[in-house]
Amino acid sequence: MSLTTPVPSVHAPRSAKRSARWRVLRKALRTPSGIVGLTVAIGMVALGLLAPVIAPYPAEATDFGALLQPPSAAHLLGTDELGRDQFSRVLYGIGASVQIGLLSVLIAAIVGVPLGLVAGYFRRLDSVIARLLDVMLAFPNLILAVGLAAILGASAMNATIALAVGAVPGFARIIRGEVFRLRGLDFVSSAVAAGAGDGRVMFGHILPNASSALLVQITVSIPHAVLGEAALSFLGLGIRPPAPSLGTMLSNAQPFLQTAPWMAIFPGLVIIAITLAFNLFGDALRDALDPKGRRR
Amino acid sequence: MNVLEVADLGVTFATEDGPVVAVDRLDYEVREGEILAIVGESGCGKSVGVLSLLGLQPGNSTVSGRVSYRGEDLLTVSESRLRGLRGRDIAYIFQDPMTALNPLMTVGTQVAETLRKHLGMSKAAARERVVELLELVGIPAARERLGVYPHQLSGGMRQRVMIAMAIACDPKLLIADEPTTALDVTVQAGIIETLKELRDRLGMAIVIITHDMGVVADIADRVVVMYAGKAIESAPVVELFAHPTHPYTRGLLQAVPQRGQHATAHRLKGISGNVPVLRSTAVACSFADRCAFASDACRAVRPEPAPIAGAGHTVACLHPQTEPLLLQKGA
Amino acid sequence: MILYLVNRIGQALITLLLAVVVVFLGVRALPGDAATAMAGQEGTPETIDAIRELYGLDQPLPVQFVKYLGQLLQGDFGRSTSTGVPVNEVIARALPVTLELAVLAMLVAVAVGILLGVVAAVRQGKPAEWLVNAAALLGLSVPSFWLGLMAILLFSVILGWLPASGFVPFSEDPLGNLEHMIMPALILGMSMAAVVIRQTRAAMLESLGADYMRTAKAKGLNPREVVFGHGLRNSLISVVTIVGLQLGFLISGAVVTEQVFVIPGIGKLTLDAIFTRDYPMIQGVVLVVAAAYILINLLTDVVYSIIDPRIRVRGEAH
Repeated sequence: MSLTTPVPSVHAPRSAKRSARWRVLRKALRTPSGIVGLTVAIGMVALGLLAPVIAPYPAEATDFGALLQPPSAAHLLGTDELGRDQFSRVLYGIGASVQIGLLSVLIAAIVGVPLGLVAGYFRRLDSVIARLLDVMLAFPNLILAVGLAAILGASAMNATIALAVGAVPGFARIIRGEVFRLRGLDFVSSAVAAGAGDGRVMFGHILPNASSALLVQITVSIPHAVLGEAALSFLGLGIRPPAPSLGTMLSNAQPFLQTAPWMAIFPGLVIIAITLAFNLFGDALRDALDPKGRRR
Repeated sequence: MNVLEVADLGVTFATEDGPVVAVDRLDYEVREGEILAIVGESGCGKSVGVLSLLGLQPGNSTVSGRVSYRGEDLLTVSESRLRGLRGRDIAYIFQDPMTALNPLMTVGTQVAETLRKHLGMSKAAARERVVELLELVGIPAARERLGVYPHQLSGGMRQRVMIAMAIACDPKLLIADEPTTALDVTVQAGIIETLKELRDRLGMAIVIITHDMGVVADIADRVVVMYAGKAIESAPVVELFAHPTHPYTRGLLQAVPQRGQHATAHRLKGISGNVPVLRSTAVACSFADRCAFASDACRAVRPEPAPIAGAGHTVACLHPQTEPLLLQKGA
Repeated sequence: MILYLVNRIGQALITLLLAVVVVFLGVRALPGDAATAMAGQEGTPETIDAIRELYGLDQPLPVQFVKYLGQLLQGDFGRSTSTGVPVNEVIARALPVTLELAVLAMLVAVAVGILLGVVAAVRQGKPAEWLVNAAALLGLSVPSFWLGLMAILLFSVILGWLPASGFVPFSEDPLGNLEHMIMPALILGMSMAAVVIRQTRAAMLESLGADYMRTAKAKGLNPREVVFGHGLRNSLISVVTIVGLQLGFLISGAVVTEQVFVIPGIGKLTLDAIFTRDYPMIQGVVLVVAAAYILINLLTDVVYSIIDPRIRVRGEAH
């Protein structure tokens, strides 16, 4: 045995508290699916952000001398009916997809978390908020997007809002459940007894302890939003052509399925890579949070 | 004539921390029409010991030894033969009737299921028989209760439904695993009484698993005291209460508060510590570390059950205690 | 039970009323004058006035709303501004098509989902579980419309087995109807099946560990009777819930699937209405979809209470 025993850190209690909070994340990153998922997800986000640097051609540059070309050295993923380089458009499309996916989930969390906190904390408001969420759920995401597109016109912004509204109930429900779980625990009761205000208890004591559940909800909502964006753009209700988006590339490809199948194959595979990565990571997080595997 | 003979029974669990021996070379037999109590602290392997008789133990365990039911070795027969025996020849009653009954099935259907499976009864015939069975186990207004769900019954009524289900096919052996533990004290006595009556009327043998010496005194003909997966003392009930010999048995008896009251909440008096976790078959006395009389020999040799004075009394101890035990109970 | 039903139906009606309010206000929130927007780009001042009068847009909002509600209750959704055909007639023609697609897809999802979910739970730790989990993960990650395009590429373009698009009513040509519907229904069903698989697996794992499963085994039932007779029924409660929640997804999915396979259902109708700015049509479609969704949720809860006697007897919402 070594004689030099490690000196206990002075900050032990604080770091212990912090490590408890990140325990779920660290546990998730010890599983292969967690590591692979997070790595690929970060890689896809990076590819999207770096699209202007990596892309060999501008996204909207047409080349009428090279229409519907199959994949080649000059055009890694071929070209479309206007001679645009599919590889470059896919890169920009990833950027748009990831941007809308992350932004809509962020908005949903910002709206949904306080709703859930209030619903769980003030029992009297619970049923009112529950009704409100029911109405939100009564309009499936896509129908909501349809309505918004009808009122405001189709745009990336409106697609983001529609997807965000669709994701709000999920956040509210998760947080509401966490409040119910946590409000009975000693540290919350003692905070209340010590005279902490409602806001302080909700945001200072309950929310930090719901952070793992929140992290899981965020992670599993992103692939949902990415798929939703792709679907909306595919229908012409999201990103408007000629701006590059994975969904519009697929709707573009539909008439050329027979002559230029690569136009349809690659954007789809890229969407799958993004959603699969986030889903893998989300599953790993969820398993870390709830080892019994009772997925809901 | 013995209904059941258990010899050298071993049950080992594969856990993340390595193997755990739950039952360690256990021997006992059950005579026809007899009520045998297997008694011991929780965690001493009582439950898994009886579950393994018919292959009902959890999946991560391995069972060894011989279990002879009327001459048939249950550990070597086929799974389909086991299914034929389960509920027909050997039936179980479990600890918590709330969770042991299917919450989504009516009481009538659950009892009838056994009849239809083993006796091939028609729906109508099974229904009539279920009414009889429910009346037999002391459920009032049995016919009206056929269509109710378990959550609509009290705990005692639920356990009576479990009993009706168990005796439906007139089994030769009934195994009751802590049948009164989850129930209110006032209900316990009624269930014990019902089990005794059923034995007298139907002539089946009963193995009752319990940690409660009060229950043992009320119902048992014979007792096997288990500790850390082993039978450490066995005797007819009167003999055991009159001459408890193993230091552990004596500790158990001293822990009994008063007759009729149950001992769950009470710690064992004079026995500090917990049942040890065994990693392999014991080579010494498992109780030595908690025993006031332990010697070096106890930690070197495993005591084997040996007959002592008194009819049918065996004990596995190097230092059997023979002086009368001063019990605190008044009567 | 009756109390529970009345209570639950009341809730559904309130939600529906709120949905009507949202749609009503949504249309009034159109940028600029709703009547001008409704008339479209070719709208002459006369048509704009006519629309304004027709919808009572010159009256105060509450009056307008009561009138609007009255029309809805009579089944009057107005006329399409692009074709002049009553909206309810158009919807009545498109709705059965979408319903057929949705019902077929749901059958696929429930059958495949429950079966594979049970397999994954019963074969825990075995290769079969791993395969099912991987399939469910893929199902969640693959966009259904892309899968649809790939299916068309394989089965229509390359193999030539099935028609790539279009629709034939069942009443005219049952076989042709199925030929056109099988691919869309399978594709739409698959993406929903993934969620059902996961829920079934999780619920079954919970049931398999329950005490009553041991009781069932101790009765002498065989593994099939134990798993399906006792385990699955208890798992179905949460599966029904998730299927109900997934129906909203099914409606959205149907819109996309109809677009991929060019099926003249509600989805196609909605998209066409948006691109022609046919507001009465959009209003009608959105309301019908919301109503359908609320009705489905109501039915889910009723089924739920039939499966779980504990809810029925308590007579209260969960």
